[in-house]
Amino acid sequence: MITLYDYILCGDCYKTRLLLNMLGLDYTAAKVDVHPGREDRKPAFLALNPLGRIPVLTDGELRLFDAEAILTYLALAYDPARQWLPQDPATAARVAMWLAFAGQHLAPLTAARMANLIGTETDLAPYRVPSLRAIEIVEDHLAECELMGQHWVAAPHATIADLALFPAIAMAPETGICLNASPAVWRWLGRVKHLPGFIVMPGVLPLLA
Amino acid sequence: MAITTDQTALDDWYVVAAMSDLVDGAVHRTRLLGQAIMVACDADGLITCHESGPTHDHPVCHVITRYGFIWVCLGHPARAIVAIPEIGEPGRRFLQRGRIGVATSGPRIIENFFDLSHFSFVHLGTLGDQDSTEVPRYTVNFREDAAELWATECRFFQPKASAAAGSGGEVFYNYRVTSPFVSIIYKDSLVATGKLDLIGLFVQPREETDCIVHSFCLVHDETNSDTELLHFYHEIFAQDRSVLIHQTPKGLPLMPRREIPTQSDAMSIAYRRWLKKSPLTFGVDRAAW
Repeated sequence: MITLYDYILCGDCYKTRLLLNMLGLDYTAAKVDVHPGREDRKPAFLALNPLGRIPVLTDGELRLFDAEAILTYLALAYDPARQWLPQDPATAARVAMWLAFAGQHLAPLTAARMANLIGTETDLAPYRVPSLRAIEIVEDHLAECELMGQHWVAAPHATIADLALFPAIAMAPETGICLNASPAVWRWLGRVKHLPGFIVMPGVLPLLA
Repeated sequence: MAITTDQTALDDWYVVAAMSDLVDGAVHRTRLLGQAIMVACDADGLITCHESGPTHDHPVCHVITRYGFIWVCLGHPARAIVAIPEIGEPGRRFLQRGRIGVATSGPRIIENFFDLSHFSFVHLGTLGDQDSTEVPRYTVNFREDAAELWATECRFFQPKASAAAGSGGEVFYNYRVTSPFVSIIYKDSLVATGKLDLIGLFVQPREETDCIVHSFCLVHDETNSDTELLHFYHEIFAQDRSVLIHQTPKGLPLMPRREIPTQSDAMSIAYRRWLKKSPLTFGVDRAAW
């Protein structure tokens, strides 16, 4: 029995919902009043994740925080074909590299989006440079992949690395970060949206055709 | 940004915080009409508001707590705070929905709120469905000596009109606009027959094209938790937000040559004409072309 501690407007929760849906897994969404209630900073939630952040996933006795760790677990436990997290050492390591990149270098983008969304008086300028740089790195990587006939971040097919990167980048325009100079990113966003089981969240536009 | 010189905007009331934003004596910093302000609650529960700037810091005279929100007028109040007698009636649940920042003008946000035709495209599966996009005719009228603008007899097919709605159905609506920055929906409850649910939007224009939206719901719902209600509404409002922030120009165009309305836009047209007649300039675009 899988439970996801979830907030509808959280991009990190969304990436775990994406994989749950793509794997066709049933789960219960335990909705957390992140805004305005700040329930994620209260003792009951801190007992689940001392960092006070969603998502948290439980599966039986197992309890996990960190979206990338959750993606890793779901892929290993529920994808016997090992498409989402391949076994080959080089590919698995590339996936790990991009998962770490998503967790660390897309964090400013995620933080800026949330501050903007809940209307705090935050100066977003310091977030801008690292956010643009992170998107540029993904753009360069994807453009290089395309030259080699590759269309995904870490393998010849979609992996959890693609899902880990997707939400923050897809919603960058919500925070005033334009993706017009990132054509390879645009094409890749479209490919992710064509994956079977793809779902949207507010801020992620659905495929219109 | 400096405080606006638009006296019409200055003389109106705006929500600048929810009471719950003022926890543990912390000062709540925000902006209103281009002016930085600080709102605080002292040990006796007294709410104070200060304009704060590099060269000045003085108290704001007109500060009122109502409906669990803090209302401020930076000028001389030209009208009363919107009356919502339903809040005192039994049977409904009152819930503040948390502030959401939207980088556009207040009038754009209000216009989107009462627009019916976007439901089927922006709120798929909740407020609309791509198979029933028609907006049946509705009536637009002025009440309270033209101080309020209403759209009545609105109806629309909605797959899931509220968090409590179990199945789709045709839902009847009235929209009430009491100021350029305040609007309230009265809509059929799908669980309490013959009763109305209310949803209110109080826009806090921080700058001409940057707002915070405060809102509440007052609904018949015995089944959902507060958090479930919040998630339901946040999903819908974030869908609106993602459309709103891309609308251009950000100020609401008021001149007839700037628009190509259809019958379903009757309320938008009335709202734009109503604003055009007023002296308001804050958040509107009066360019002829």
